[in-house]
Amino acid sequence: MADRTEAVGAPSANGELVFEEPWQGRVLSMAVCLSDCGAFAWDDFRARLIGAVDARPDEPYYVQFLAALEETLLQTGLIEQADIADRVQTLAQAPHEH
Amino acid sequence: MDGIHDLGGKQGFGKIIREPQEPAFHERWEASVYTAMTAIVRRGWLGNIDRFRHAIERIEPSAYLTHSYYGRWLAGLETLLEEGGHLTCEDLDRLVRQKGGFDEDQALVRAARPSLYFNVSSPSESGGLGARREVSRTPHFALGERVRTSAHGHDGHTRLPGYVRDKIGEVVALHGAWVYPDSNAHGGGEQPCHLYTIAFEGSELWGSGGEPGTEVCVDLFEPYLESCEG
Amino acid sequence: MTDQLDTQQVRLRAQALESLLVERELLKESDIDEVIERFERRVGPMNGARVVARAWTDSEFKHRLLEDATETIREFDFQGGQIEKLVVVENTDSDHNLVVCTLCSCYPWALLGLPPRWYKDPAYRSRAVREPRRVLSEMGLDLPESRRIRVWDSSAEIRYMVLPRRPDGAEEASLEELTGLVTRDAMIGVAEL
Repeated sequence: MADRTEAVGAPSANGELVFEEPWQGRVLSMAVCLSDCGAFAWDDFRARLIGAVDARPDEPYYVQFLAALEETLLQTGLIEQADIADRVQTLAQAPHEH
Repeated sequence: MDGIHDLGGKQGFGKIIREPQEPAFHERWEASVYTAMTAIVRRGWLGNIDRFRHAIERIEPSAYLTHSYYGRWLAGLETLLEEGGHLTCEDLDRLVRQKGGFDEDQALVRAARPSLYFNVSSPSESGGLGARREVSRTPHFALGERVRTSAHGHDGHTRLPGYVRDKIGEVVALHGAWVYPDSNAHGGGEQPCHLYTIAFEGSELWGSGGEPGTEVCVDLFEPYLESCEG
Repeated sequence: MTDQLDTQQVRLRAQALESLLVERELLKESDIDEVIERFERRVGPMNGARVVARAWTDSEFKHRLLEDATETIREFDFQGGQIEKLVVVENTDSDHNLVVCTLCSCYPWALLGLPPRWYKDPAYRSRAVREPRRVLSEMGLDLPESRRIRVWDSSAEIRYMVLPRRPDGAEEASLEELTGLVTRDAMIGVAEL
């Protein structure tokens, strides 16, 4: 796992990954789990991440990361763009637990 | 070198200030220096750790004391990058002026994540070669032997702290042979030599001013030592 | 994704993606939790704390740890901040150990994470070898005169960690609970538990 997070340059301090917010850790974990279960190849994802970092240089790392993850999943056909949009809307309208 | 970095036993620095709930990095630029350092190490621009330590030792003394830890790292990195011909201080100054800060620069985003941009295979998990070496020479000193440390340092990098010079101590551990920093920091090759832990009584180091019932153990290379026996 | 999302939107989008993937059985929520757990426990003082708690509860392990710490901690598979040679020194009723680096700021990163600022500051680096008893007292640790103090100045590539004395009244504690009791400062030697 460490070699994969290293290969995509995930922010770390002293070998420890740094997450500013919990969702960032979940996004990274999703990507790791999905590549573990063979949903996509880590190198494909890495290539898209390079593209995402170049395309949006001013965005924080995990925004780039999430964009790359979405793009990779759309490309595999596992998820449709409309699915994500719908789900975002549903969640936004859902009552919050806190 | 007898620089300001050799702090053991120096007086007048006052109380130790602890910070509750201290964060890993106090400001974003500190993390930038940390990541830049990692990137530079991977590119092999640093030379070796001894060279880097010596670059930090050469920081102007008042700056050494007023810079924070990562400030000292940054100064050491700049020195090595410039001496290695990778970057000039003017280049760095220009970058900083252009961007009003160095972590916003795209070039440094790349530098901070080299493995993302350059398909470099990262060093193995064991961290590469390390500093431990096998030599056929047997250690000159034995466990329990009393040794005297060298009275003088030299102009270059050394790991013989000033406060243990010309002092008598006892060998309490042998560690085999290791890369000799005094040589390796200056392009003189690794020249591996035996390393020992030497224990010094507080009174030997500080005279009657030493606190009773205290001792200091220091890891010292064979060339720093001579036998007190025979 | 549209450009310049605010944090709330990004968080939402990450949640949406996760819930979709879980719903379609591409992922299990527990898988993600497990990966996070691994990330969060990878490096930092908690690594040293696990070693200490194990040594308190397993005398055979403790014996090996004090004999050859480098080899013994391999079984934990700690990652990041490699230590070529580690020496663990034990605090007892008669001896107290304290770690410093007077020449720079050498520190057992893989076990204790990044060093605190005071460890890198001139005050600690200059005074710890000259007046360790006073330094400890100033930092809130008054040791009896009879307790011998041994200061370890990390002047080469060997790294030192202190095995603190097990606190009284923790005989019933589980390994997990014991791990939670161990502090970074105790493993540097500037505190007791």
